[in-house]
Amino acid sequence: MSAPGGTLPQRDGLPGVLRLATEALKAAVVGAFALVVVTSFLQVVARYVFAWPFAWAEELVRLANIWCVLLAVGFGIAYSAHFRIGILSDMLPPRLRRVLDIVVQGLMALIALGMVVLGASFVQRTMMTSTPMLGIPHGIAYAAVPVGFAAALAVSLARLVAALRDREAR
Amino acid sequence: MLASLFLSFAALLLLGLPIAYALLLSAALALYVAGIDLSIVPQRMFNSLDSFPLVAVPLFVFAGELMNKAGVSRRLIALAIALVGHFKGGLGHVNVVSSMLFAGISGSATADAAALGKVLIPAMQREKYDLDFAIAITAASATIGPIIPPSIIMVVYGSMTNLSIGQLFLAGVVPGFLMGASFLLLSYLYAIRRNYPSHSPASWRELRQAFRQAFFPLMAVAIVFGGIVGGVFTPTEAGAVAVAYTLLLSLAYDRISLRDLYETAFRCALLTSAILIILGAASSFSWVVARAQLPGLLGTAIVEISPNAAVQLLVIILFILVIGMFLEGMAAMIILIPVLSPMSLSMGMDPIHFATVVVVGIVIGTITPPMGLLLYVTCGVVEAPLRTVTRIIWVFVAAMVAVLLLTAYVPAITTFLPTLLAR
Repeated sequence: MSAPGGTLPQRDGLPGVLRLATEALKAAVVGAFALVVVTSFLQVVARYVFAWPFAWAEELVRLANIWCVLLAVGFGIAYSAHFRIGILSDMLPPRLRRVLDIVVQGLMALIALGMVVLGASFVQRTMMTSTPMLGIPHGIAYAAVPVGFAAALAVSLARLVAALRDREAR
Repeated sequence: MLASLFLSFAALLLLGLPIAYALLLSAALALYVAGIDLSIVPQRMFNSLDSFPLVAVPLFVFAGELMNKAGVSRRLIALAIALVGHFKGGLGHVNVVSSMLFAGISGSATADAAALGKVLIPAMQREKYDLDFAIAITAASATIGPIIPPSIIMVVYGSMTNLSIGQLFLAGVVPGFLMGASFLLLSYLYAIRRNYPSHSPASWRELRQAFRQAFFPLMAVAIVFGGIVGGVFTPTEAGAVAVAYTLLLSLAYDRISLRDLYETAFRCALLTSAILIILGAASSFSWVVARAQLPGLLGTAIVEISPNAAVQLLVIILFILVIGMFLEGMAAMIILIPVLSPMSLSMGMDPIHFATVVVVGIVIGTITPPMGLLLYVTCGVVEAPLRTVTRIIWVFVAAMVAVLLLTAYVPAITTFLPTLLAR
């Protein structure tokens, strides 16, 4: 279940709704990424070709980048893309490794849950003010943190369940 | 507070938690114990990511990946063969020269090592080069990628310290070329000692042909590297232009479909996220570190070791090299910057010069066992075990340390270009 560079846990076993949600989230990540790339390029064109930089573009690019980074955190877990040190896990015998995996996934789920809760209260407190250029409420921009970690929480929980089942099956 | 922060961080890392998660939890624990409201954790994460210069990170990650998609490595390698293949141990030199060309478009070492290694290591094996040398020179010369501009690691350094990323880029040019020169020398010495073959010299016609084939990729180097060094583009702009150009290139060479593009963008988003989430998580960690006044404590401690700035710098370099052996480069740098960068001022050192020393030191860590990410990547390309290179790599590490010391103690190497071009 924790093969490096692996795929989403139990990809084929995912119920239709979940699979749809996964694809939608992936599209959102790619969409935010595309927004970063295209807007940055248009900004260069606007500045050099038309000598007319648009100030709101910078804000848009920054926000799209933050959303992209945070929305992708969960996928990063699913695809083992996060930087980590696997030395202990590599040294352990398979049985202990499974126990360690459960501990790690549990801790990660807890941390993600904490970020969702803390992030949500942060969002609530900042809904009244708006960003300078685009006029979006700050809270909506900040929502990237709880939303991103909610996805990460979902992935960690899925992996935790898979790891526990895997253990029972043996 | 500090002891529990670092101990819990180390323990969580060892358990196998992602670095970002280990940073978050250890910082949150320290804040909780100190009775500080934990809501600063998401707040600082957001604010540290809310930076326009950081946008250059996804752009350069994407440009590097698109360059691989476009099949640029094959063309640049062919050009390098026509240029330096006829020297003794030709493919070793080719490896270094292609890495330097790559470095002018790409900002990360892992992308370079994977792209070039895939082509060059098997080619070197066919010509009876030893596997340890082939892997070691590929991994070592890939480290030039983040030293010669553009450089993702310098983008992160600059945005964390408010130093000019453009100036940091310029400061890396000469050290990058010095690294290249030292690897060429090593490659030549190995070629003589182990009697490696050479290619027959390219005729004018072949050379012209190679240049023509590599013309558009070379233009990418000229636009990105030239645009940055010439001061035409800001780093972020250079990234945007690099993406547009490499995308055009991969479309023109008919190497990418829409589906491909979607998946490539997704993978680049994942890598960007993996890098930047560490930055976001480290912001709370470094807040705790700063609140406990660790930079000041270390500053005092280092003065007690020696009042001499040169000795202090040596201590810092050794510290970076040792940390680099055990922690992934980007993460190590993100954690160390808030601690180290204030020290450059108390030592009376130019911050751009200091930053270059730190970056070169960190990059050396990517090829030192036991945790050199680049070694794993390069060995992985040919599915060789890590122990293949754990001996020979130290020769290359020694060469890089020599360049590092030169960079550290001859300030002109880094400050010459930034001051020249700032006028």
